[in-house]
Amino acid sequence: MFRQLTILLLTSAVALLSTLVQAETLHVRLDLSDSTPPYQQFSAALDKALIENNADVTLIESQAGAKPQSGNDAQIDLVIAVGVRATELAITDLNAPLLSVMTPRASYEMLRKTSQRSAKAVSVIYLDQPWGRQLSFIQAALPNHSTVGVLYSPNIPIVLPRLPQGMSLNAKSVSSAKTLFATLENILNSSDVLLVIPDSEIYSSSNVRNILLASYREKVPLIGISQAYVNAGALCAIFSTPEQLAGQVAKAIISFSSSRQLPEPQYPASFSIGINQQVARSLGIEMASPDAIRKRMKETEEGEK
Amino acid sequence: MKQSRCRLRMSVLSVGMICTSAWAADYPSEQDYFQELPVVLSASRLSQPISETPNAMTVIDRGMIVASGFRNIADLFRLVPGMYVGYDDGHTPFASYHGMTDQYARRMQVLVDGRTVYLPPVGGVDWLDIPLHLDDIERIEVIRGPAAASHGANSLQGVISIITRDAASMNGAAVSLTRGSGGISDASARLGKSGGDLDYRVTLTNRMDDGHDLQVLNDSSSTRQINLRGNYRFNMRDSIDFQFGYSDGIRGMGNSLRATEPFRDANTSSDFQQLDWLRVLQDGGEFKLNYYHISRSYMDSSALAIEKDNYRVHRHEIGLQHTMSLGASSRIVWGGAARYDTIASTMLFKAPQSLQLFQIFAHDELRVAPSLLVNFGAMFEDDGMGNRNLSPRASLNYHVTPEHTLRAGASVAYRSPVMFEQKSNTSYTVSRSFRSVGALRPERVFSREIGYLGEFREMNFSLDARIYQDQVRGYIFLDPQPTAPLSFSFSNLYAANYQGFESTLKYHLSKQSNLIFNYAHQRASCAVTGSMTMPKFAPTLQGYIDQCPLSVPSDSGSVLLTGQLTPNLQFSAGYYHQGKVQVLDAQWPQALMRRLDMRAAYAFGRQSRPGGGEIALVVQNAFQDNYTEYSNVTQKAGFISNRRAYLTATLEF
Repeated sequence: MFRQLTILLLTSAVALLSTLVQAETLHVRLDLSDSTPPYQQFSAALDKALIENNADVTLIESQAGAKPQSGNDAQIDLVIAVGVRATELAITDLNAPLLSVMTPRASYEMLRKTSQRSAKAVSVIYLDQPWGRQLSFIQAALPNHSTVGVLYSPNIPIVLPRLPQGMSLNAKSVSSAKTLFATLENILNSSDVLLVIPDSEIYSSSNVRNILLASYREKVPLIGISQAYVNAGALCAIFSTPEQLAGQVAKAIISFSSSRQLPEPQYPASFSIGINQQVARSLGIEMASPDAIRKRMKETEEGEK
Repeated sequence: MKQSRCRLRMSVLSVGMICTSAWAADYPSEQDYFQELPVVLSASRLSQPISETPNAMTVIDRGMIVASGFRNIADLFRLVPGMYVGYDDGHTPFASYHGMTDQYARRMQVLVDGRTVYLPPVGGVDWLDIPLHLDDIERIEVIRGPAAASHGANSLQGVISIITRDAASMNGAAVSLTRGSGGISDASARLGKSGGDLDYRVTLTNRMDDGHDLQVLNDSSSTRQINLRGNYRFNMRDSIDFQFGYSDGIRGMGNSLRATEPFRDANTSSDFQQLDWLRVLQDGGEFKLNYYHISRSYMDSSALAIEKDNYRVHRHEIGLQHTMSLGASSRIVWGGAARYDTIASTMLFKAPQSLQLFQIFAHDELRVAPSLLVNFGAMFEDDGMGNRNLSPRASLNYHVTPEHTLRAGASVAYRSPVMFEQKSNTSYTVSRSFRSVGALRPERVFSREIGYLGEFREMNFSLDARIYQDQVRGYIFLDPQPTAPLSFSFSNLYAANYQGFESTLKYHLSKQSNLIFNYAHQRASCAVTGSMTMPKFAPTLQGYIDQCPLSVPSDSGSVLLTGQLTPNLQFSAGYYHQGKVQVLDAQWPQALMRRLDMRAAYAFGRQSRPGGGEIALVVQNAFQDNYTEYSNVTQKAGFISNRRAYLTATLEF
């Protein structure tokens, strides 16, 4: 009995001590751009990841644009802005360091230019996959498809990569909705695959339908940017899910709680591969399993090092 | 560190102006990634790869259609190994597979977007009358061999399935004009819009020619058509595809060698309306409910006509189909249909006729192992004429390696008698009368085949070959009746056995240059199995049966070469070869046919954009090889198919 009490006291003392040493509970405000499923999934996964890591963090969830509860602001140590809209609003609020997540790189860079924040007070975990990863994915999944077609709107900044050996890029700008299908036909005639980039003018949900039909007609597979694209009829896609991003954010929060430093802007660490086997079969394309593709990508990456 | 290396490897290709437009979405947002999308390429839109189909299949795609230079749909089947295309006269082409045909080729199922255009009264298809322009065809899938398990009665020899271009396939407008020898004068205008929830395309066509260059036949024709296809999407899962077409034609009739057939014009018209509701299910399956109506009329009612032939046919059909996946390895398609056909013809039947047909079917595509696919299924059908048939099919596709596939299959199929065979009761005054006795059994085929499909990617070619045996029993044939005067009925009179070898070799010379080589070797043998009502005609029947080995050309084939000479200049050539053949109801065999067609097309402007276009020249039978067409008349008149040339100019708006 006495022995048990001693142990209890000792553990409590250790716990108390470590809390004192580690500083106080971290107050994190989670700004969601929206309440639709992707944000909810992100929020739930972040909660779970923080609990699993026994992180001493208080998450205060709020909707972007909603008025902050008065009095709380002073206690916020870190703001996680999920999505472009939340980032846009939070970036002007200079009180707490900001980590943006689920934000495409192009948008983040544009918001960053207009903001007064110092580089140390803001960072990001992008939603896009790095070009190198996308190209390595195409090489691993479709070794005989070396000409990659890309359609983009001229008013959207797009940074195109230098290509690995044996690959070539066929990028064409679409000047207006009227010329979309002519440009599409042209690009399908001269490419082995069509790689989707986030561009709502070109890839609106009604356009996606026609783009998918045309690419299937020309037997040029479409490479999407989400599982929805794969379900709709894209041959495959490489993407990061809200859950995967939440895991990465949880790590960043934990590291912030001790160092008070934001991580460098970074791409998603983990990613998923989706394959539409029915489309593959119909196009007569032999697709390896996601695991095998991942392995090939890793081998190529190691080979390059 | 990693980040900076990454940046070094990038180069800025285009950094546009940072937009001042009020539209917030000028730069990407996460919505581009998380947006919901409709399932576009659902099960029914995806064509099965040829290495996984349960039957041998030839696909005629847009590239081949254009390269062939053909002006009419039936001619395209010259590109299918083992298929015969004949012309009764300049406006009555027919296509059949594995011989045993006459001008009412009625042993193949013909579908346009799932709608049967094979007509019940006399069987056969009036190819010129289908309200469909060649440019609106996306591809044609020709199933070589019976496929009743999936396509129902009348797919005794095979199935022709025409898939038209999607409602969204056209954005803009184009006009096209064709002029050529033989009175060829065609015009078409196409218009389409896509991009919103509603897509549509409309085609208007006028086609004219003088038929064969033969003075004894009046076989000129002119046809005006309209075809519309639209697609409306209610939400992410449901869409309605609606189609409408109308065709109105004038057909020259008459034969100066026959007193009963003075030169005159007959009128034809046909129309259709079709609605398909498609729901894509959560699990990737889909549910399709469709309804269509087709009607066709033929009026040979000129004052000069001696037998005033006429009929008007209607068909209504409602069908449903459900495709579902049971796990990753099994895909089941099942469904049913009910059809109602009517015909009014004072000349052929005296009283209006109708029949109701019901069918249910199910098949399963089971992936036993990654390399082994088993297809099995059956259709049960009540043909409305007292016959209930079960048509099963089973096949096995084994991928020895991903590039090499072996296929073995067996199936049973039936052909229901057409209304005319079962119920004819004609009112001809001069021609021989038909009085059907009825009680016909359906023709039945038992078919077996072994096929091989090989992809030799490094050598840039693929090979599709098969050997088959089809045993047909209960062939329906003319059976004279001892009435006064003599009349005709039909009976199940003979059986036939077909064996052969078919192959298609495709050689990819470059991305836009191809060579397709088709070859078929066929053999046929027949035996009388029924007895004629009037024994004195038995020798006549035996006479036909003796001709049976000639009812298929022993060797036939085609070569289609397509090449892109410069970015603007495309050249293609088609060579067609067909050994001597005796079409069943022709009095003389048709001699060896050799024919070379060529096409050259020059594209100007930017393709599919306003101001873009093309000028194409087609020369058919370029070397003036002497050959005759099927018809009795043409051969008796010593008709030689002449060289034909026509020029087509197309301009986009």
